[in-house]
Amino acid sequence: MDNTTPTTTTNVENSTPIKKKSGGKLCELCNVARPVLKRPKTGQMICKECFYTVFEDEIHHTIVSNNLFKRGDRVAIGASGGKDSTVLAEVMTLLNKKYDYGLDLFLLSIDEGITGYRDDSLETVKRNQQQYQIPLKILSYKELYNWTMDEIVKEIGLKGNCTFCGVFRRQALDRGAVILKANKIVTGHNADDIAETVLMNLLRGDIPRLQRCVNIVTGSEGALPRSKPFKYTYQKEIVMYAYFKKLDYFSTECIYAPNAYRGHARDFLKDLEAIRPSVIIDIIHSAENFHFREENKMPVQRNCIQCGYICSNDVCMACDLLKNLNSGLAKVKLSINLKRKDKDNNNNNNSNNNNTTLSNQLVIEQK
Amino acid sequence: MSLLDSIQSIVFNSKSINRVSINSAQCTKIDCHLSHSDGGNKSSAIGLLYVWYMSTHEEELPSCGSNDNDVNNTVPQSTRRSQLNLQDNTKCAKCVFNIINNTTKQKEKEKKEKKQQQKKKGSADDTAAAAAVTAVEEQPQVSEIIESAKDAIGKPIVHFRSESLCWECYKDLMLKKFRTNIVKARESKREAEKLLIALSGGTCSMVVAELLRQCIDGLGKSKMFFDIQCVHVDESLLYPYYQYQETLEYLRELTASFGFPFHVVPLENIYGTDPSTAESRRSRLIDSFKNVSSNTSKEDMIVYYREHLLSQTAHTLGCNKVVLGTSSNRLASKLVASTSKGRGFTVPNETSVVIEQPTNNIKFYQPLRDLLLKEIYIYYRHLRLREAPVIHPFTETKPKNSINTLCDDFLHCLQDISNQTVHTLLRSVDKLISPSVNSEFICSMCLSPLTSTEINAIESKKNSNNSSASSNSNECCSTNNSKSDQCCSTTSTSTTNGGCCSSDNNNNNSNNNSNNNLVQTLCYSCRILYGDIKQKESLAPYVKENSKTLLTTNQLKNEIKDFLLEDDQDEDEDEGETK
Ligand SMILES: [Zn+2]
Ligand SMILES: [Zn+2]
Ligand SMILES: [Zn+2]
Ligand SMILES: [Zn+2]
Repeated sequence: MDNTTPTTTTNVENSTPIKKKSGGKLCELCNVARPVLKRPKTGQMICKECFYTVFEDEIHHTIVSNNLFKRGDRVAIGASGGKDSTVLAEVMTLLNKKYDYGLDLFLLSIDEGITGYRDDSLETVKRNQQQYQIPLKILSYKELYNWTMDEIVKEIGLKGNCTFCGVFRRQALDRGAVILKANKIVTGHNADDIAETVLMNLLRGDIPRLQRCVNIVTGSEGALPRSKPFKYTYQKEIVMYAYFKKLDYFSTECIYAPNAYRGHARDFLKDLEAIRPSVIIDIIHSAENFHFREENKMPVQRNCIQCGYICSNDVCMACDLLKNLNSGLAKVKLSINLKRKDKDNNNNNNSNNNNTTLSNQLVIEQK
Repeated sequence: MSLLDSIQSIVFNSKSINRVSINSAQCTKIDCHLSHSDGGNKSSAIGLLYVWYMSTHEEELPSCGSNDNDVNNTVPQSTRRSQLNLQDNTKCAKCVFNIINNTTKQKEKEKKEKKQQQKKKGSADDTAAAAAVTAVEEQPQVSEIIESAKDAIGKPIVHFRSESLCWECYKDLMLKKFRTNIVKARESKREAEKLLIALSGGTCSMVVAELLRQCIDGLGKSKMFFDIQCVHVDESLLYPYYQYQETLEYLRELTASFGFPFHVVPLENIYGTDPSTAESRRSRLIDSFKNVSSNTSKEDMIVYYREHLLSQTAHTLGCNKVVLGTSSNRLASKLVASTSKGRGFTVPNETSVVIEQPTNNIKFYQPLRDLLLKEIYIYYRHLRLREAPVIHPFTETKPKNSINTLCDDFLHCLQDISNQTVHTLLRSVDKLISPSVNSEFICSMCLSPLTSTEINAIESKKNSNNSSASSNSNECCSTNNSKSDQCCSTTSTSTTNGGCCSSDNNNNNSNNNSNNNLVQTLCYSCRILYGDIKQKESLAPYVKENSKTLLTTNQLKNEIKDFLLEDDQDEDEDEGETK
């Protein structure tokens, strides 16, 4: 019986559109048009228009059922020029019009100062601004910290640079949003990202992050609330949406991201998904149903004595890193910082996106 | 001949294991990476390789991975580096520690006496000087002590979590660790508790039997009182393997030598125990598994069926506890696999030393939770029990066969990269709990408690076929609820009054309807499994019975609920915790 291939595994290639029309079959949703794709999430054969509808409706539903926005909110869309944030900008503008959310949308880009990566992707964001007619703010590390990532890498090398980048970007997004007078931030983290982060946090034993990483809104205390409208959206469907809508996006990985450990988790998730496509949602469902022991209390929030940013120590991570960078100690201090941070799990900055979790990965690699 | 070559030749020349693949990078540490199968046969094969390895490479100590958070480490951490020269692997750290400890205790005694004598004499300067002298003296003495007690220090056989240990000390340590977990689970010290050991034929469960025997015999402190029986659930009908007869024979002899009664329960007994229908049950079981579309669901179904049979057997034998030989590797893998299957709510319970079963009084124990597979093999080998036959299945399974095998493979690779992986994962799950929201409401298939959302859905159940067809249940994420409601409203033929609803709704004989009712009493993960079963009739009868009971109880409760005085705190999911 083991020789029979399970039907679920035949879905592996379901992200690619079906080339030949399947014997006069009709779209499973509207029963009118010819199906052009098989939905990764459900395996349904559907037409392009129906795909757009279900894709957008699901996001609308996520937004409405989680009360992500109020009328009159000023929402900054974290825009990197990549596929997730490009589709996010498209869908947010579209839904805002279609359902009359009454939101003021802004594009907010962070320029880390990585030649050949960020400068190109920023061009994409600028074109998006033209297309969607949303105000765009670009904020650079140079402006904020007086260091570009290129300079930081030159100073400290390729080990630990992602820590800097992650810590700086988290703050930079907040600061940019404040400049734009936005009261909310949305990021393009999708279901795959979240499932991967759940696995990573389990593997690292990072309980505070595990607790936070499936929240659809984070950073509600003091800092700007940040939400993920794509929490239940499959990466493959985002790619499909961008592909069929011919959206203009930039698709290169950061040149400084080594990501060995996260890479393992990512490959593993891909393999799992090939066996059972619902696995991504299933992992999120698991994490939503985790119950934590009482003792895992969140550390107390306060403000950084240097920059006022919300943090759990006297000085925030960014200021701390910056101080070392400016005094030329960064290389030495980095590992100590990371270890301490890992130990007391006090790095309670208000986000849990990919970038923040990268930092802890280094600890593991060093072990 | 290189190590790799030799292992490969031994592996490929031996007929019983031909599926072992070895990564050359791992060879120095003799990590054999097996292609996949269930726990039992994998462990035996690794065990066999290990035995062979040890016979040829006595001088190199096997290392199992360090764990600094282990409270049961033999040697206190503070004294480890200062007093002992641990670089050298020729002396057992525990023996050395004991000797030094004893002598220093003696010294302290002498010192105290000296001090008292000096106090009598007076002068404070003298005492300070004396202390300085003893401090200087002590340094060379450690090596002297070790040298003088040379014969009492054992030759290490294993590098256990940063210490080299001799066989005697290792044996004590394993028993100590095992006893700690067994004591945790014990309810009464005086009465002989009735335990049922589940023997798979693999190394781990045999080690459990051996350790329990030692507890009864009173090795390591006090005697423990247990009344022990053994059971082997025979799954060979679905997963046939070589040396089947030999394995059963071996288990029979081993248990007989321990004096434990031994029972074999075939998996087809899930459909009943009447001997006259045995043949038809066998074909029914085979047919029912042919109708399951995914390997993951097949494997999971076997596990649930096995657990059901174990509980049932324990019940008939009057045992209230079932002891499993699950190692930390296996539990870590289960954590990842269960999380991937949407079992986040119950995974903390599933991976703890004592698995609480809310409905019946039978508990499952996993006393080997703190031990790595490798540590268990090394122990097993040195016990020098009669060699167990290697369980090797007819059909090969690849890592990508199912979610379970993939998780095993993934963790095996990660454990190679960092030997903390398994411990870290178990530490993660230690921080989680499974609140049993309302213990009456359990999943009909896997018997784990349902979440409050699922319970609410049952309680507020209306007359209609509420959940849309099972095929759809896969994608239903928590936010899609309203959507599935929409589908219902269009498909359901009879919509009814909410409130105190009727009694005539449930057993409408309509097949579809009863299937939908059944889905309602399944947990999130079992709904996915249920969706993979094409012929719903082939499901084991216990699932349907459980479902019926649950729905009937719920319905009865609904009818009399206005007259019940105190009940229902199911709203507060977060507060209704067990501990
Ligand atoms: Zn259509
Ligand atoms: Zn600061
Ligand atoms: Zn010893
Ligand atoms: Zn279940």
